[in-house]
Amino acid sequence: MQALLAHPNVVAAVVALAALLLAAAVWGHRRLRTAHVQPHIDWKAVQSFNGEYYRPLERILGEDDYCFLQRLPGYQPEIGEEFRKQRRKIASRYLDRLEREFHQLHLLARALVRDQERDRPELAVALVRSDAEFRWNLWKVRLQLSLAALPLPESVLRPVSPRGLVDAALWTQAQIWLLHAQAATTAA
Amino acid sequence: MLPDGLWTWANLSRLLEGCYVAVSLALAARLLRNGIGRRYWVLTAFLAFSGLTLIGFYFLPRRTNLYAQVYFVLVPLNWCFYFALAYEAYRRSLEDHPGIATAGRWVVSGGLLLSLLVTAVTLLADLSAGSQSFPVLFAVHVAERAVATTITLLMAVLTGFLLYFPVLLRRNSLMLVTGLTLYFLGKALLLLLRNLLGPATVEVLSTVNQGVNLAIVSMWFVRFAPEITGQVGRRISIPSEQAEEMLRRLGRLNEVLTRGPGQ
Repeated sequence: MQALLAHPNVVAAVVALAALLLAAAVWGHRRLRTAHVQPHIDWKAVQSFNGEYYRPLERILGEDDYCFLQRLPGYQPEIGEEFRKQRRKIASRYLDRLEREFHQLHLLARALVRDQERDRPELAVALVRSDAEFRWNLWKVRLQLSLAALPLPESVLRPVSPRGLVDAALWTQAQIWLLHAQAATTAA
Repeated sequence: MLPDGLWTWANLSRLLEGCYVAVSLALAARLLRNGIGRRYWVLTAFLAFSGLTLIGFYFLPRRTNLYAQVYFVLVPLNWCFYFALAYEAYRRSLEDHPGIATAGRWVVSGGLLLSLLVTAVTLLADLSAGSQSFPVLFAVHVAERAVATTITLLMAVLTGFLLYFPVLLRRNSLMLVTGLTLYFLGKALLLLLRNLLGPATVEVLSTVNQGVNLAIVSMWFVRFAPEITGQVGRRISIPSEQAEEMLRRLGRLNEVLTRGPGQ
């Protein structure tokens, strides 16, 4: 016991690490246990996902309207600032909704692949990839929005396209239809 | 009240060891009796093996060559059991889900490589400890810590995969995954402490290890139960009206695809 008490820092660090990892293990256990409960899926939302709804996002994130505003007589930098601020808020709301809808679609797609009777490694990998790409693209767009709030030179603030985000959601929705059609055919 | 001198770490360790032997052998016997042992045969064999090994060591004279020889033969056998247990956890977790079988294999194989790499890096901490009185024993402990850390990380990767899809586990498989994660996590951290602080800590850390092992085996003893055959959990079911709408949309999509570009 004395040997342990002689190194309180090492012991404290290992105990803290143990507590952290134990908490993570317990969290994992609880999540795995509740996986038995069918995740809440809003079927209507899954079905009604429409990529067209997010079409304005590209324009909101783009520079065209801002450039147009700058050319108007009586334009002042404060007006431009206010315009950009409002656009950032609107874009952020669009992105929040898109993220929610994508996660709902993706969860359902993963659950459908999981329940397949036939091994579908290509689809599992494609789902993982689309999820990673969506997260990465979303992070880039959000970062760009955050940077736009800072006084940085315009060359740094290149507009980013949200098209990849919407495409990923549409692709996931198509996979759900295809997987469901296959399941229905098998059942018939 | 017990007389002074009876509450020593050595006595406590012996008491916990005795309880561990009793519970693990009883659990192995129960698993065999109610048929679970056939599905979880590595776990059953490991429980029986570890219990009988401890009984065997009890009768061996300590601090003799014979004791050391038996110990050094059994240590690699134990490591083989550890990897076999992790493999059993992986197999049992994904057996009801053929749709993600290959993906699971890829993730676990990649996870094993990653775990080995991360473990190799973390071993630098053990090896940086000062000179040891028993270098051979120290090397064995470092190797055992490497095995335990690798399997802990592997179990974490497996858990991550199971959560991602999200896989419906049977009750016993869930207990196995959680129990093994805690078992190897405890072992890895206690061995890390032992390797960093030297052999003077063995008595206390060994007692704590016995306590952790006993807690996990007791949890298995209480929670393991005969399983219901057939598919596990509820599968995703699409409400009929939504299903019809989906098929209608798929039909429209197919129509567009059939028409081809430019038509």
